[in-house]
Amino acid sequence: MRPAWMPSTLLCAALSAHGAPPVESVADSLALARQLVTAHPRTAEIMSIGASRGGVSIDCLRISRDLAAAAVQPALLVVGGLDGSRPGTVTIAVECAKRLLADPEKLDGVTVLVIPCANPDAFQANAVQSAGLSLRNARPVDEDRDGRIDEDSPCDINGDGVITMMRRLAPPAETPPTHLPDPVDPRLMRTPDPARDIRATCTLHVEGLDKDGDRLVAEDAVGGIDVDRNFPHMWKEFDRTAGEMPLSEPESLALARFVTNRPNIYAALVLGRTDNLLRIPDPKPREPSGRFPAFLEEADRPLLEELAKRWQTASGQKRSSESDPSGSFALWLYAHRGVLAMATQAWGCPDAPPLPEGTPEPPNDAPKPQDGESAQWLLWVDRSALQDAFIPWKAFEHPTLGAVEIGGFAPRARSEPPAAELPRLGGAAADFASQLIAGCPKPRLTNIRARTLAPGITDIEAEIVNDGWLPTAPAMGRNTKRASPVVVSLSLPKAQVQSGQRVMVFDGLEGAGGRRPLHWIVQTSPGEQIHIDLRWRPQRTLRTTIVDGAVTKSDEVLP
Amino acid sequence: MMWRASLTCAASCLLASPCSGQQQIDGPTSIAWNRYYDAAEVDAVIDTLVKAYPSLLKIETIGASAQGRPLRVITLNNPATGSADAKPAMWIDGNIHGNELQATETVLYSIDALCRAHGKVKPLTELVDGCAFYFMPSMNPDGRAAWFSMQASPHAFRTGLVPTDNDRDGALDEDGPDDLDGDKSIGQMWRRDRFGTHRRNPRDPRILDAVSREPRPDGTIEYGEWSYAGTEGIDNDGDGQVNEDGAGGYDMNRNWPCDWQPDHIQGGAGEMPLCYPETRAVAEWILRHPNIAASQSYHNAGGMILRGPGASYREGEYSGSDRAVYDSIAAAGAEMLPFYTPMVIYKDLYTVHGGFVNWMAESIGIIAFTDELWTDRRILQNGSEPTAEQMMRWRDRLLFGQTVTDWTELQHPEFGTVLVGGPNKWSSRLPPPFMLEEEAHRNFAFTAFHAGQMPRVAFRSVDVKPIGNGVWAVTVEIMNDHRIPTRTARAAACSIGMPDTLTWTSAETSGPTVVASGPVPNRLEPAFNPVAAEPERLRINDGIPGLGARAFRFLVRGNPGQKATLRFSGEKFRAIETDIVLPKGP
Repeated sequence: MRPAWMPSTLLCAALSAHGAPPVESVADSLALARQLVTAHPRTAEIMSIGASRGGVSIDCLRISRDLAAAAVQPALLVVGGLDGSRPGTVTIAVECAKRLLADPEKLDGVTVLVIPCANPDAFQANAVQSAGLSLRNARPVDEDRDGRIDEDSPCDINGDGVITMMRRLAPPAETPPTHLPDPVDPRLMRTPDPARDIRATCTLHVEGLDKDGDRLVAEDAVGGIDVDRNFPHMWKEFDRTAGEMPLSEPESLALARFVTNRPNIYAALVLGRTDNLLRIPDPKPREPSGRFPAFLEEADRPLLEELAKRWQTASGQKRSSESDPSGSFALWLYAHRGVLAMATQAWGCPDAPPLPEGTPEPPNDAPKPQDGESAQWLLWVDRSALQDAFIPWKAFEHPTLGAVEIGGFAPRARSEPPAAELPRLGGAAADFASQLIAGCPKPRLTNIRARTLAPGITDIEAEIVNDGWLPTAPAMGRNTKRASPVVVSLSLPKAQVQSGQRVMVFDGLEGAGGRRPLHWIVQTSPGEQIHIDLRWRPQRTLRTTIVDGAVTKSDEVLP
Repeated sequence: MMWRASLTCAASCLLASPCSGQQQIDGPTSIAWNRYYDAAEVDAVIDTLVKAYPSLLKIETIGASAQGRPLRVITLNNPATGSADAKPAMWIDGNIHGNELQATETVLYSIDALCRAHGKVKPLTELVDGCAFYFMPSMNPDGRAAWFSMQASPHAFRTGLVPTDNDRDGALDEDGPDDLDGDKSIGQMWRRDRFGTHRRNPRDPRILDAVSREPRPDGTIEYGEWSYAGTEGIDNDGDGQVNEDGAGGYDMNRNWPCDWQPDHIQGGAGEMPLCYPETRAVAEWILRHPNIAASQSYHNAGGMILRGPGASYREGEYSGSDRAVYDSIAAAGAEMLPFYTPMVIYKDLYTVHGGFVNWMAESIGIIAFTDELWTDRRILQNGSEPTAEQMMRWRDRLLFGQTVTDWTELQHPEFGTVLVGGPNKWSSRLPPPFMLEEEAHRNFAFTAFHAGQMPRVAFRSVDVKPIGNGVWAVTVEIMNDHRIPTRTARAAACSIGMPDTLTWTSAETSGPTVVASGPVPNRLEPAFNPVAAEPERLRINDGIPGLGARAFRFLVRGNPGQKATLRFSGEKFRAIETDIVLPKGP
């Protein structure tokens, strides 16, 4: 197994659209993660959670003020590098770790687990092919089921250094046109609208050749499986990039096992192309059985909205790209593990700079391109005068498609923040993580009232309350019973418990003062100790002791 | 005299063919099929079989169970007729639920029966020579071992033995059942209750009869003396519940990556699909064997021939043509298996997410059944369910009381006075040993029938016609004389596995050269549908239907006398070839 920070071969500088970092920065970031451990030996350690399909270690930084107690403290998980199209997320995750380590006081009894690069194969692949960006792992897949593997990848056929798109101008009848250049801005594409006599004129293809002679262009690329669409919840069966089965990939399986073995994870920040902060999911769709929401439990919406506000404040991110979260890691964490999982692209289309003074902005009622998201990007590209971010369409004679035009957004123009932005975004992630740490759930026993009803008969009333801002589990996890429950148990034998359950399992507590009442009537002898233990698996057991109707000890932390 | 001549003929036939009667076929093994084998004995039986039939059987350990027992797959193949992976293969497993014992004996019996018959019984010899079998006698050896060695019931150990926190209290497997009466079985508990729902039958106090809920004519309500208190055990962890967190506590037949749903939707599903070492090992092995074209998974009980889907919303995954295949095979099974009924899981049984049979059918795209072995309808031999008294007479008169423990009155720490006992772990779901061999043989025979329906293809016709200018039209018809198509409708619709391929290879580099090719929609018409690319390698995603044929045409340019070979190959049948010679003029 090769360490993740060691580049495989031939690291070469990729095209740096709008100053985005070269691909080496991923290896640099991972090397930096190692250095953090050396620099902070008392608060940081590194472990491998598994290996990629290509044999590269998937590393995790464990950060805690008390590493010996790290496994029994509530944990916040930060994951970057799930898909190769967003190499910046690796750097952001490492920068986040670096900043948290710089101020360990803020860790406040919480363990932070940072996996900077969950899909190292994609980044290794991108290190040796500079023109495009692969988001998948290294599993060979016969996408076109012709018995040949990875034989028809996209490639830079016009030699401009990037793999963009091709629009075939006069497609034959068997492949009818699907798009047309948008009349509002012909650099953008739109779909036809026959009712309004807007007709398709071309087909769209990824830049490439028909290397295997099957009359399909670039349909069997090198690698692989999209690790961040290989998780079980809402997994897309028979989508070839989603894997042969859920968790078919070593990367996704390693992450899943890592999480299932750590019930102390109470929240997660996933940096990738899934976004539930700027794009709060619709609570209406249901999972296939129809019994639970597919993407969001309605009761979780207010908290997610607040979290989204805080993320936007920290990061300044205003927009994100649409991406179906089905089969993603973050969605699985939320729906199947009951973890408060936040997913963000970390960076989206920035506001376009204003026009030079004296130049009027176009009127609001000016015609707008159909693809509003791309139009926004293009506006930013144009006004920022970014030369490499959008490649103007140029005519090219394709060997099998005939007349085409090649152009469009550069591969990383819309997924990769400018290099100068990465430290700031890492800081934003650390700031946001600090808020999640400060808001860590803190269930405890409170309002304990014990009184003697008769000789040897004690009535005990109490409450469990969550003093933290965040819930012990989101409503989804409480409803599905998948999150770590809060367990309250009485030390007395069952025969002495006249009323109430000796052991009570609560599915969870809402945040900011969420509470549940407790009530027992018990038989005791004079001087007999009654222990009430509260266990929430992320934290150590808290014990309260009652003797002869009086609380003698509370919140005693058991080893 | 005519009758004498006929008798002589019959006698000579018997002599010539030693197995044309119904005598037991002699063989090198003498394994008793009227008894059950524990996990270690199963391994010994497997070793005996492999040693007895070394040329046909190969054993493979594909992984280890949670407790470290080997997971063993036995390949039955006659190497003289080709390698196993070049033939259609049938997967046959048993005992994914550890308590469902006879599934294993049925798999083992099938291995013995096929090997013993090979070379002696024509249909079975042809079956063995034409295809391969992959047998997994026990997919859950831990559960089986626990059933034999620990206190169990007819319904447990269904689970594997990965320690699991079923009651979410943080402790693993801390409150399982307890054998309170020392009969080495987990029976029932009835607590004394003056407002009870049951009373002991005055004729046979081993039977507890329900008291009528209807008020008496005078309006008073009748009560019994006993109420049901669950399975035998105490509240070991003092949480107020009895037996709620026993060993394991999950269902590996809900753990497969086909419509897998988590525990809050599908109880027992496990943390994630294929999270158990047994299920993952099997799934990975099966995915490496795309020649598997049929599947049978033995379970107990109920006399069911089950197929998917497991959930109503997946009904559309079974197209009409696939359903017809299922129906025809299941109908044969219903004739061969007394009182068994073909059923669709979600409609006729209950909803199942993540079932193995569903994964095989819906994700792998093969014709897969689950037989639920044994039905109580066999007790009276007339198809009716026995009453409680008839059941007790069966247990007394045919099983001599071996499957029931008389009630013992005990003081239970939670429930006070209880009756403990009743039917023991051998009492239901299992055929008694004297009926086991018949159960195994009938199910083996049904599975042999199913295996015999795996695709078998042949060139039905090859027609080479000159159409002028040095061009020939070569039309071939490929037939499949078995019920299962070379690619199920499911496999075709979802692009599962590789398409079948019809490949033209010219004997010389000079030709003949394929200029166009494609399927012929109507074999009596000249028109065909040319493919867009690679005409010399036709990829046929929808395969050849069961009990049917399809025609394909190649237009080739060449000279008279030039030769080529057409080869039809695919994942789930034996490849065939035919030589083509361009004739010399009309």
